[in-house]
Amino acid sequence: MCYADPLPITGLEEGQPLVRAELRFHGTFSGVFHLDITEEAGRSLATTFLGADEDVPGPQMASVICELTNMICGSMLSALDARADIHLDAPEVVADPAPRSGNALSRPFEIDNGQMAVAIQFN
Amino acid sequence: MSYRILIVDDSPGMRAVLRRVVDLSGIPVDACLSACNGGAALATLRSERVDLILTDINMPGMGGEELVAELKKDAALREIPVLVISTDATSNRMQRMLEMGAAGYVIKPFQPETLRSEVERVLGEVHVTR
Repeated sequence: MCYADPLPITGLEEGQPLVRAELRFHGTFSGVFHLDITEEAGRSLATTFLGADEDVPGPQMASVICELTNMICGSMLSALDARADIHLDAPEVVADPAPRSGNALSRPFEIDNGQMAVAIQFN
Repeated sequence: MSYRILIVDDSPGMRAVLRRVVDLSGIPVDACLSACNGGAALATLRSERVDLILTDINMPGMGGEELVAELKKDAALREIPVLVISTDATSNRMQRMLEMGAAGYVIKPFQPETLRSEVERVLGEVHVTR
């Protein structure tokens, strides 16, 4: 699969083009999970993930970012409670990412070629 | 012997990754088919010979859990081994899928070696039972 070495940072730099994937989950826990990633980092990650020789086009990048969102959210929720019963909706790329609610728990990281942040908000 | 593998995942990126892992595994594969959900997988299975199914769980339309249930109800398809590949690492889900008859469960993200050895194990059991 793809391997990244994320380093925690204090916040995402403003003004960078971001891609956001959103995933809603239901069951023992319900809420929404977001992955924000700078466009260049997203493209680089997708290219590595797919083992492509050249930069992948937008739809393929979106598909990989959605899959990454699915994996991170699934891992987080399973780690919170390994006996939980949770259903994950299909992740989707959000066209115009709005600022997140202040109630979301968020963690930004520096990764190869850019930055990303994960955020989770429980209902 | 060369095997025919069906990959069932709604993510085109994940289907491509699974196909690549299978291609690089050294396992003799005659055909690597793909489907975007359980319904599409059943349609493929009714027209193609398949030796192993790799399936996700959460997919739009028919998901992996329903796919396994449908396979077990069908005398012509129930012996095809199913390896579940999912981000859901909860013990309830894993136990339920194995009780329903899945041959194995691999948690995403995975190391290619983990998937390769699980595929080899399951295909080895297929080989022995033939």
